[in-house]
Amino acid sequence: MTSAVLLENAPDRELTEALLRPVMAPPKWLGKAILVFGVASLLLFALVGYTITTGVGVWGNDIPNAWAFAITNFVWWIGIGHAGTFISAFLLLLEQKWRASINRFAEAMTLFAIVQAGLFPLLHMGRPWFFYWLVPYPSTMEVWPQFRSSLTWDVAAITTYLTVSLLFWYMGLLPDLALLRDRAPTLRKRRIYGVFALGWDGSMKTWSRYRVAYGLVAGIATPLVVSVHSVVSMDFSIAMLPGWHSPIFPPYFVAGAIFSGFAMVLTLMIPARRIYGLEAFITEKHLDLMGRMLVATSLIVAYAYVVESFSAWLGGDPFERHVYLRARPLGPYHVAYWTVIVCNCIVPQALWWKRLRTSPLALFVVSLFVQLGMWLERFMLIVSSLTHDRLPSSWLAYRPSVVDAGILCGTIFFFLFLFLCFLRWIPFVPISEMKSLAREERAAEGS
Amino acid sequence: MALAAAGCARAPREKILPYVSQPPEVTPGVPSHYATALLREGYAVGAVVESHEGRPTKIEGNPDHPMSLGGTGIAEQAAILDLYDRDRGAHLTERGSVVAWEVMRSALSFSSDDRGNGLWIVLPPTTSPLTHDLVDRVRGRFPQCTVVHCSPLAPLNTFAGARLAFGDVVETHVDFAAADVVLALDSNFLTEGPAALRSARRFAERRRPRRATDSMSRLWAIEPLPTVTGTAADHRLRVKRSEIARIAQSLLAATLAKTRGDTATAADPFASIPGSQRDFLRVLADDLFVARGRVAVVVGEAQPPIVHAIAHALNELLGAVGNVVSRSASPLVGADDHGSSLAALAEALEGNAVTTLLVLGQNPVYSCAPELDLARNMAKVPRSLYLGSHANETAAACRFYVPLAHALETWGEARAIDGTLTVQQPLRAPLDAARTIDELLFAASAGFEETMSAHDLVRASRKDGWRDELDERWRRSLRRGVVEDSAFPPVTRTVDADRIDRLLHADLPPPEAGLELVLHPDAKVQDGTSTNNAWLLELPDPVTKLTWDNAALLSRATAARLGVADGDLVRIATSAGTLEAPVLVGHGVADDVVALALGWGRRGTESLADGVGVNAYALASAASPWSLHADVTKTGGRRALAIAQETTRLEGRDDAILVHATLDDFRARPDLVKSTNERKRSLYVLPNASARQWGMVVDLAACTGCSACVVACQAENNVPVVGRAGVAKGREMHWLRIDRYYDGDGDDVRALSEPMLCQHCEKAPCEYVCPVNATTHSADGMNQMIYNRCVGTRFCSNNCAWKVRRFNWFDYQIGPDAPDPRVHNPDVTVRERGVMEKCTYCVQRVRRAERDATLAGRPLRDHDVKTACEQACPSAAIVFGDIGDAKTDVSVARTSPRLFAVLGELGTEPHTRYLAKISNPNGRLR
Repeated sequence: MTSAVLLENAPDRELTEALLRPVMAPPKWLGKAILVFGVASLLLFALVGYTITTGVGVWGNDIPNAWAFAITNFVWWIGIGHAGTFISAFLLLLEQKWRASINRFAEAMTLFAIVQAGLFPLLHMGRPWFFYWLVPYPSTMEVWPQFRSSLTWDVAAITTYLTVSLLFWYMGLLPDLALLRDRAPTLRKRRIYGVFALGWDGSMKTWSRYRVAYGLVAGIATPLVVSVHSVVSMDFSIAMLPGWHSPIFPPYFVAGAIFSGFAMVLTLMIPARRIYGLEAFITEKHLDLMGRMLVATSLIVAYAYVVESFSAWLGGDPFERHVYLRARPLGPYHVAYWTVIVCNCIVPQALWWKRLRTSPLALFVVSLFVQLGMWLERFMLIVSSLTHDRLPSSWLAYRPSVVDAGILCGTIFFFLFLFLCFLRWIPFVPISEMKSLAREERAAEGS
Repeated sequence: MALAAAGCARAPREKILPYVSQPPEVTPGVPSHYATALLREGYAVGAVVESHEGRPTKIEGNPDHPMSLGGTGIAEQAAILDLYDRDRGAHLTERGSVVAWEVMRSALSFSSDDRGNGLWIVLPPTTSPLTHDLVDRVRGRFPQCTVVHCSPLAPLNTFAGARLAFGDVVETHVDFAAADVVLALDSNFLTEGPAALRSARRFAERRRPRRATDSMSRLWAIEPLPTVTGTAADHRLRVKRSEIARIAQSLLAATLAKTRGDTATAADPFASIPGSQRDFLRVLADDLFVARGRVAVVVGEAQPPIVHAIAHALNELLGAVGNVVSRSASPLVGADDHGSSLAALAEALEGNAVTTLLVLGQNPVYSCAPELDLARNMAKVPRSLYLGSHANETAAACRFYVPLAHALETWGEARAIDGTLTVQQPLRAPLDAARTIDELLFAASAGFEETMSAHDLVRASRKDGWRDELDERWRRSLRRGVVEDSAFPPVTRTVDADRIDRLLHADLPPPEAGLELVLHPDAKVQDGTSTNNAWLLELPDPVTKLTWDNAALLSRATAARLGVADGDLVRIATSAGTLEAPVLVGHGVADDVVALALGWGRRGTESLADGVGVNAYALASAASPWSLHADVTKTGGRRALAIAQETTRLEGRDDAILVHATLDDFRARPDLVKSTNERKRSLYVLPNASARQWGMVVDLAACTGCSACVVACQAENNVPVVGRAGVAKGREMHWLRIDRYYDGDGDDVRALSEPMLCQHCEKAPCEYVCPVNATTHSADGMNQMIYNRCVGTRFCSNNCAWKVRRFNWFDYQIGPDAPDPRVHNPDVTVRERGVMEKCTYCVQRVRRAERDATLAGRPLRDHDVKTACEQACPSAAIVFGDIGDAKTDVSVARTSPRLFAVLGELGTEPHTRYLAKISNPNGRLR
């Protein structure tokens, strides 16, 4: 089993050289790509500025569709983040060794996705400059947030998630930052990496304490895989809107999050693996296992869809029945609904075949389908419920504005910008972990 | 820097002084109320105006006035915004440049031997005795002058019908509370006309059964397009406007046969009627006859005189006169000599026989038939003057323009349709150069050599009648808003047998064979005099829910035949003109009818009204202003319409949302309303609930959907306007809206209206989802918004099943499109962008009443607090009060078997409840 995780079991020095190459000798086009996406990200900042100065009315929202694109984007991005924590913390605790080569990659993705996600709850507010009123701080007026509202829980969940993810990612980076400090060609770079390496000395004592601390943070991070998206799902399920008010949401959202997160890891990893020639470290076994995760979570998500509709039918509430059995499959957003079914339930079934599971191209295509499907799923869930609330007089279709679309594209650009920066300056395969994995394997072979 | 400097205005350099002794009628912070009258087609409607430190902010009905009874309509509620209209003319101008009064005086002055040859005066219809005297005075000074009364809505056909029936002009009054069966022929008596508010109040009294055993009146409507009255009817027949005369005649024949008892021998009175309508008319004729003595037949102004005369005859034959219908002299000045019309003026203009033209009020250039071509002809007159609220189309055709004082800036006199006199008093001084019609008439009568203020004119006029009692009666009438015992005595008129016979056998013009264009006054902007009013433009039409436009209304069948859908542009061509209008497929329009509202398509200086909608007057001819043959062709173009409500069906949710039944059903099943009223058992105890709990009950049986409450709420609560694009995006801000659903299939549907406002749930779903406690519950049962605390997550709106919460997507109250801030009610916060808002149960009124009661050392009484919607409602369908006290009217209403809660099964215990809509159709039809 373990033998397939690393294809070339090279000595430490060679491993180090190979894994440092992306940082030490980056591809020539990378700088240009960073610049392009950096400039494109300005779109996001321009539109955010426009929204804040003019009013959230520049979006397509209306009454009844008081939430739409922004919250869809929020849930989508935060869901994408889930794979990182899952791979790093959950699989670490389960001692799944194959995770080592992709965990930093996934963690970075998590972090950058949370950055995008966090933007939306702030931005969608009518008066975002008062966002801190959602935070329980000792106000002189002794006004507290309203703890019965899931939005207050959301603030706690997201800030916790951001903090722990950052901490976890950064702690994992420390030995490699120290390595970069030691290997960097110029004094300036050595100093910069040196600051971030926090005086790492590589001593046995440091390593043993580091291991304990890293394990502890992983322990803290693991419940977040379940809790964060459960809390996010309560933004909907505590409401009494037909289509939102559903106890299945927490597990369904968590499964959906891991589903979309793994898809995003694949979307980013497959090109990177090819470009940097890392087939030796990110092997077919990785692809295979991640493909299996996709199928598994796809089945959970599909099950949730069926159960949701079934319980709406079984419950007999006419308003629920209307949303699940008419408004979604037949209403103004039926295209979104059926696209969701195709992307999330049908397309991933292709991965039952091992040949497709181990084919980078097939996986890449499936991962794109999944991302589209998961975005549309959140959109459908939010908007088709709001457009068809109980009073028919308030029914109104939602049409996004150009600004809505621009902000969504802007976050994708900004995400890619951050990600390319990460690829450029930080070794995205954890060198120290790979070395220890190699040694373990050598030891296993030797024995 | 510039902003900061503008924001913090410095104190004036000059010394200013505060009140040393405060004027007795002004207490800062405490509004005062003044009684006056607003005009509907010249007739008075009593009003009480709320004024804050000299700034009028709200108009209410005057309960002492017979034509208000405390209620108000859309027009009265919106009039306050006209007062602060930024586009109102402020200066006296000559061809657009500001001049002094003296310039105009010398230009218009008459030589002492001028007999008024070539002097024409155009006046709106007026009931003012003072204006009457002044017109006489002008005629005395200039015997050869011609006075023209003109208004597109003047009751010309009504008066001609009275002349046809009785030989002279009388006003007909109907007491709808005394009628068991009412037939409305093309008549929208519930919202249109000078007596509409009274009619609506009296009609509603017979429409709300308290118990299943109570009786109800029955309303039959025969009309070409759905009106508020028609949609409130128990039976409604869609016919072309030109078919109604024949229908009326056949009803007369049937009734005559029944009264003579020769139904068996006489020929079938309905032989000439299409078969599809015969059953309806037979049952109707029987219904009228069975209820004789307690019936009323009313006819709309758009019907030709003969239909009015037939209605008089029917009322007579059916014994309505004396019981339900009464008559009195008309207070309208010149009611009996409507010989001189705009057509005569146009002819004189064409012949260059007009040397001096004074147009006082109205906007004839806009509203005249295009064949008169007043715009071109009036420009030829060497000395012309226009007195109007705006420098509009007519002002552009005249040499001088004088701004007209608003009704709330006016001293004047006006009579109600029954003759009741009101002395109008101003709430504030008019803008610099603004004058009243009386002032201008006086100046004209003096050859523009002298002027007299409106106040002095009215005092002088009253002095003639009141003499020694002047001061005392003046004070009393100003305080009450009516002059006691000034109503005209009833007069007796009968339609003699000869006349009935002539009506019965009169040759009627054949009904329109092709497509018929039906013109009608707009439900909101009426004839177009107040189109520049953002509240009116944005108000959804009571029936079609259309905003910011008028549209060619077609039945579904006609639209299908023409191959057009909502928003398709069609070219409508009549003998008078052609225009392009967007189509709106309406429920309940007669087939082969294209209905278009008057009052839109203005061109002029009115920035809001300019270019909104199409000018339907361009299709009318002077001879037939109400209906013509029309050719309608699809152009292929489109214009998106901003319709406030898209889904028109209840989707089978009737029992949860809008309980409705016929009276027979209600009698068969008095427990019609299911268990939505029962308080659900709960583990939770309501915290801090006080004994007093505010609540509201809306009686859907009485509600006509007229929408006066919507504007009243907007005026009271500083509700912003979002514009056409905002409505199209679904961002209306109305705290109170009227949901309108259709029941039935095809074109023959019944409309059900339901005022929808915050339900003030005890366990409000909006409250627990707010992350910052910005919406909370008061101890006395109100769901409150704390604007200062709101960050605008909008979760509350998502979780409100009634979708009554409104969000400030932009800063609607700042900027060039925002209204003059002086119109705002100072008791209500003006909301900034990014915060949620919604109905507060007029909490400012509640708190003020509580303070007043506390200061007076007495307990709060029932009806000490009236919400704005309740106060405005012409049919008294809304009642508000303490539901914790079993003796209040609202608590009594809550014991009705018709009581239900909208979405009551959610268990949120809403404090706003409804009484089921009950209709009373005749069992023989359907």
